[in-house]
Amino acid sequence: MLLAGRVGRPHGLDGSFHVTRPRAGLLRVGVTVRLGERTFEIVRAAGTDDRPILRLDGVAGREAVEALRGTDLYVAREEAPALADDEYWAEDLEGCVVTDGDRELGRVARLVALPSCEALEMAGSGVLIPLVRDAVRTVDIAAGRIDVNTAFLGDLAP
Amino acid sequence: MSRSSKKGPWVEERLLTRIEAQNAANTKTMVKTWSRASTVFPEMVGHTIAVHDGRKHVPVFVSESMVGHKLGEFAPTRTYKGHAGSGKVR
Repeated sequence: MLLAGRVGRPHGLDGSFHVTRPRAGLLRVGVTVRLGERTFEIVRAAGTDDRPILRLDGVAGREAVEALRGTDLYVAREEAPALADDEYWAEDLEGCVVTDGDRELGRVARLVALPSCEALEMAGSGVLIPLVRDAVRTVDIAAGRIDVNTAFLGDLAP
Repeated sequence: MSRSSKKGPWVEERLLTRIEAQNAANTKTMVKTWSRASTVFPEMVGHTIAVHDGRKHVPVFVSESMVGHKLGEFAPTRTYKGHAGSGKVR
């Protein structure tokens, strides 16, 4: 499952609500989202990618939204749009072992979105490795390994 | 008041020298700088520059659309706690 956002404040009277920390592209009409143990279908998607407004099937009225407020919205991977070449979900990158050849450097704590590119934040040290071809040689999600070029990173290597 | 156009854009000389040396040698390594006020020059396109945010160096991958802006614009000084949805190797 992919985290798609969090239920925010109600919008209007019909059960629509704002989504906080939204992930653009995942929240579309017809997609099934999981909130806790329950699943709902999205019947209305409005607003912008940065500030989407959703309405879920079976959630009617502001009180119903208030009851769900703060709950994380999850979308199944099968319903997520296909990624481009060399593009990876943050969930897949987190926890991967970072190596330079045979030398193990640590693990990825999270993927950080910087203004110019994404970066892998290393667990413990907090070092940022830019997700650019000069720094990252290969990403093997199945094996959970990311091969990086420490010569390129210089003294900023983990 | 904006900078006089007669002077041209400002860039830290040492930073540009290092970028130009890498371009001449056709090599690439991440260049570390504290100069957030330096202007992005066309020579920097394709390079990754580690710009100091006051605490650590933040990687900035320079693309064509960034030319003319200041390096500091791409190294935020406030911690963002949110997560990226997906990452693409550029």
